[in-house]
Amino acid sequence: MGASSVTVGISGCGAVAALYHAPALKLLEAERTLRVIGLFDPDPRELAAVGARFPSAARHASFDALLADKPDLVIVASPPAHHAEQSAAALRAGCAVLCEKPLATRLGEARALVELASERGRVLAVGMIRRYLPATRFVAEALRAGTIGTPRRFSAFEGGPFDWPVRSPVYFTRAASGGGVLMDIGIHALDLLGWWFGPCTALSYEDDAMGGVEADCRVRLSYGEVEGELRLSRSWRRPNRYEILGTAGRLAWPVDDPERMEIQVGNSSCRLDGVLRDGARPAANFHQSMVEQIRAVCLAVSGEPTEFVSGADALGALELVERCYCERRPMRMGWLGAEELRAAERLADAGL
Amino acid sequence: MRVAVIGASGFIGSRVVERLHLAGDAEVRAVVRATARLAGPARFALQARVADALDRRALAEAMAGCDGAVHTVAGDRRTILRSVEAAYRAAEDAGLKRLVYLSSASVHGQAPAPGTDERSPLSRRQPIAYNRSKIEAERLLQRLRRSGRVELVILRPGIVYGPRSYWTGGLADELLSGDACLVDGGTGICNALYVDNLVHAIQLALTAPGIDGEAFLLGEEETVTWRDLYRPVVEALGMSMDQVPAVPFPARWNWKGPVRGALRLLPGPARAGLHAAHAAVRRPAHSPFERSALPKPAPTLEKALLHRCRTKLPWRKARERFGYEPVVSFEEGCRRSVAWLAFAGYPVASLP
Repeated sequence: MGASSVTVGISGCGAVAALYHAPALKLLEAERTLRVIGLFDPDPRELAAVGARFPSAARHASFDALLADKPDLVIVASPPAHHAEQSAAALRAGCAVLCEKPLATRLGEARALVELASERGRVLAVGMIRRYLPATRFVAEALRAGTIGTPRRFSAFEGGPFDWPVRSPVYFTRAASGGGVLMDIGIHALDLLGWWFGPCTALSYEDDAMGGVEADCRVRLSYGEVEGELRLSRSWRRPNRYEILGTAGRLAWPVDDPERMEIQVGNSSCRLDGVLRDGARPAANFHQSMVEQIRAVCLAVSGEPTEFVSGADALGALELVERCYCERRPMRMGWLGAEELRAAERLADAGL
Repeated sequence: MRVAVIGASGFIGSRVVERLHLAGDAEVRAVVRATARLAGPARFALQARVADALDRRALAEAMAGCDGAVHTVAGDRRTILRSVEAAYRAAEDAGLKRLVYLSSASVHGQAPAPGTDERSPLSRRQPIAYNRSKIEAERLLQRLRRSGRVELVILRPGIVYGPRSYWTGGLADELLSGDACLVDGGTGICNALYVDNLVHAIQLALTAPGIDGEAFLLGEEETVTWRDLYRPVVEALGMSMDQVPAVPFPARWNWKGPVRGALRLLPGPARAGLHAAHAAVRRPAHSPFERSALPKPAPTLEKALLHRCRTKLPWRKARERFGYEPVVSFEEGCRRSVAWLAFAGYPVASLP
């Protein structure tokens, strides 16, 4: 089977499929890397909107009907609560799977998927598009090369007022999404930190959920001798930025610019603020990164050598998310009055 | 009592939801314009609805079963006017008893004359479009009330500060980016109102008898200057007040408005030529031996006028008619604001 013969089915025609997958798949169709043969979404309007971009693909009102088309690869872009069940069904039907993050809302389900993919000998990939960005790859390589010595501390902030075009209020429930901002962008951030620093050795976690799902959270993490804090928000914008301090310098990445990197060497008062150029992997933004990710998975489906984030690779971040929710403490919300704080703690406990 | 909060994801709306829900004083229904805006209210397990604030029918459905509503929607003139009309008519359709509208003390101008109170005539001959829109909105609502069934209470808060506000978070951003300044050294009077005092007034205004159709200014006990408002944020960020540039009231606004009006009458190319010539004249000559200095921060017209205010607006009418008393002192309001800055991820040096 060559890469040009990879047939693709899309499950879920919501925001991520419409904004990211569909344009990337169109481009890869034009390159004859793949061919979209079927789409599924329970919402006829969403199905029609994405389906219009793939006129030769069949539109299905059920997931089983999508599998009946026997696509080589199923892209699972449905709400997170359906990821595990649909990925498992696709693997059992003999399809390869590229599942959007999170692979599952529970670690046990994710592990079972990894085992299933191994048993069936099928590709199970997870949508971690940040690993294809020049900046994240540069950090990984710079740390490996010792460019800033031994990493010691890091800090990261990600978020801002939430503006992802979700279609249903159900999105903001633990049942549908597995959590709030931590399960959403947090899983990307934890994946990157694990990729850069290795296994997490200790963590503490706090958030602002008071009976619902968190909009803000803070995770303090240790990766051996590397310690730092990850702060995520859906409520207020601060500079989105990762900073890593090593024994011989500092790296900083402003998240909104995947090609930019700041480097400071030793104790120099100067810092290099530059643009990364990657001739081998020309993913200059999140959209191009999506293209590279799908291309890599198609190559894997075709049995050709390639790099992609497998289900097993994605387990680490999901394990940390589950640990965070288990060890959860309320964030310090010092603007609340005494009576409100008591109610907040009561609601937070009741919401677990 | 069941209260709909229209604009529940905004600065004031979010604190109304938070306070009412945590205090258990009312059953809150959060109404937001887009599903994504539920990220904040979704911290709680409470009723939430998605309805465009300009859509009467959607708002009526969202408010069905509520006793009262508070309108906290911000925006441009069109949004302000269309949303108050939609909200009032929807409140009628849904059978609500009372609508509380958040107007602004700026209907009296940014620097009102001594002796100004609720009886002072409102003039549309003001340079700030927002002030004119708020006056129009008040008048429109009063007209709707004369022929409508829903009681109406209009609140005119001054400078509302606290968690998620421009005057707290926005000020911190400006201080960190070097864009903050104080006109006339910040010695003007700031008609500050901590957000919790406003929420308290809203709660009272939702049910107090005998205030239908009335407008109320709101304030605090303390008379404070703009320096007083800035200082806690400045010091929390480890800065000193000396680092905040004191700038004179910009004289150029005395002529810019009329000149701009005349420029608009010229054809495009002529207008562009004049702008370029003006910019060239204003650009200082630069020696290659001198380091280029950062441009000095410049206040907006609105801020410059606010900083020149010499009048403490009275709020005795609110005290006399519905028993309003501030529940949080200025000092405590500042402490809580700084506590929120720390929560939001600002580099707060020490918590008060």
